[in-house]
Amino acid sequence: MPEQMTKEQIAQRNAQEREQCIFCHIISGNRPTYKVYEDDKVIAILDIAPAAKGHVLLMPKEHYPIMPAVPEPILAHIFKIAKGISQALLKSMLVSGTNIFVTNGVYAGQQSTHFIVHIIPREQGDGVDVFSLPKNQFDKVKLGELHQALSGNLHLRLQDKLAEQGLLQEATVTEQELLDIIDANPKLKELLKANIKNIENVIEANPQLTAMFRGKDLEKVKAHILKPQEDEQLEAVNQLLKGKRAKKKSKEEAVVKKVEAEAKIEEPVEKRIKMPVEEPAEETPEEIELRRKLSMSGVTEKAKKLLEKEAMVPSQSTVEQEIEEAEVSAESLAESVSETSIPEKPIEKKAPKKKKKEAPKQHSEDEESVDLDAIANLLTGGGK
Amino acid sequence: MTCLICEMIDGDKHIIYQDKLAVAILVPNPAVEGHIMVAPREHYAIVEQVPDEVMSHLFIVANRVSSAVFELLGAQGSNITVNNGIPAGQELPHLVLNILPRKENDALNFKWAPKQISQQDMQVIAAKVKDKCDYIGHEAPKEKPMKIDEKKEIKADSDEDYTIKQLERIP
Repeated sequence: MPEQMTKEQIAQRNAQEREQCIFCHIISGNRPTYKVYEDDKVIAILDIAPAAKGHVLLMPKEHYPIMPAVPEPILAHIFKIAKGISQALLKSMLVSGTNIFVTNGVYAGQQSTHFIVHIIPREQGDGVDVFSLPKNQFDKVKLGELHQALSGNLHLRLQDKLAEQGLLQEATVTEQELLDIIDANPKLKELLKANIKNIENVIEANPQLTAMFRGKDLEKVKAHILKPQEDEQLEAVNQLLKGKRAKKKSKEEAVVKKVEAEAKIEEPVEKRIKMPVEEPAEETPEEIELRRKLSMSGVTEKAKKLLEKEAMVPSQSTVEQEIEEAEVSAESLAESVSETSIPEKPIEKKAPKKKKKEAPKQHSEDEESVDLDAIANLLTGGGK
Repeated sequence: MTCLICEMIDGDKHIIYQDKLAVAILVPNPAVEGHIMVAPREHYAIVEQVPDEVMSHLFIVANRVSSAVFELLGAQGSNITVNNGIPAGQELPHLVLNILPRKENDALNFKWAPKQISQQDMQVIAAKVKDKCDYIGHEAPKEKPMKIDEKKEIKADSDEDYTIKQLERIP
């Protein structure tokens, strides 16, 4: 088979065959012949051993051994001319039929090494009965198998090969059609996807693709190939995310519920912890104010205030006694303030640490509260 | 009028390949295993009715099909035959190309008995055929006026030929 040989081997063999080929000699004009038609690609002569009068041999001028070896543009031309010759034979030979006959291979009856199309004029009762084909009953199962094998294989094969030559109507595609073709052929799409970066090389390497992509905007094609992929991925990701989000939500909800459930138990504890902390915190500014007032204003002023307060009190007879008591109480106050003012800060600092531990806080609070009570008592009690 | 081939083209049952112009059908009553018909999708009775592009396309499809069947069936050769007209063995009023995968010693034999024709006759035939073949290349550029001229000439020619033939047959 020619496909299995290298180009050089084919050229060599063709050259050898051409030397021996009678038809090549006829074409080059080295042998006499009954030429009926000639153009730049083909020549038609009368067969010297004809099946019927006017038996024409139509052949390409170039030497091709069999039909599959002939380039398709030349094939297209050959059979266009074959039609013309058939028409000419009907008119010139006054016949009402022709056979167009092609042989590929010795077992098909090929006698020359040059590809030839026979065009044979046919008349009723001319005795050339070889072309009526027998009708055999064929195994339907086997026929079905053959049908499957061929219809699976052949369609893509022909589609591709015809697209390569631009002979299919689908082959002369618009950009949109090209994109549709890519969509319709997952294999092609995969190929292009896989080599998206080297897409130009891939297209160049494959003649049918070069034919298809000729004059097309590659960027659009690339974008098209990638877009659906992205969409698919996005969809997939979205679906995954939806699932995950749903799971996350359910998990989060579960966690929140747990936390809440725990928090419900803990919260009161926290409140227990916080509340005592907050209370002193709320109280501290008062304390501080009190203490500042106490420290800033000095004992005498407080004493004066106390005195004023006492002055408000209608009973003035006991004022002197009360002043003495107040002085005493002021001294004790000053002492108590000096005592309380020093541990003031450490208590505040300790307070956050003590949040964790309830017992010491209560003690400190008790101490503070005691101190405050004492102060308050002293202040109020002083008034009394 | 219903056409068997058109029915086959409309139904998917036997089709193994189709495009906008041509359809390949696996013949239910084959001459040999893998007998395939390639037919134009449009209904054309004979070769002369088929447009040039379709004609070329049919044979290109036939070529591809034959090489595909080659490989699939391990054939050793192939024939493409067109029976154009009832005398040529055409049975259905729809033009078909028969693709016949060939093997050694199969049931088919297309060998005809060659006829002996004198040089003079050959020259006459060649001249006649060449006369008509000269129109092949010129049909496309000059379409309508040429066709009218052709028909007139044909009639004139055919009349002459008939008279000559009849005269020849008389003795």
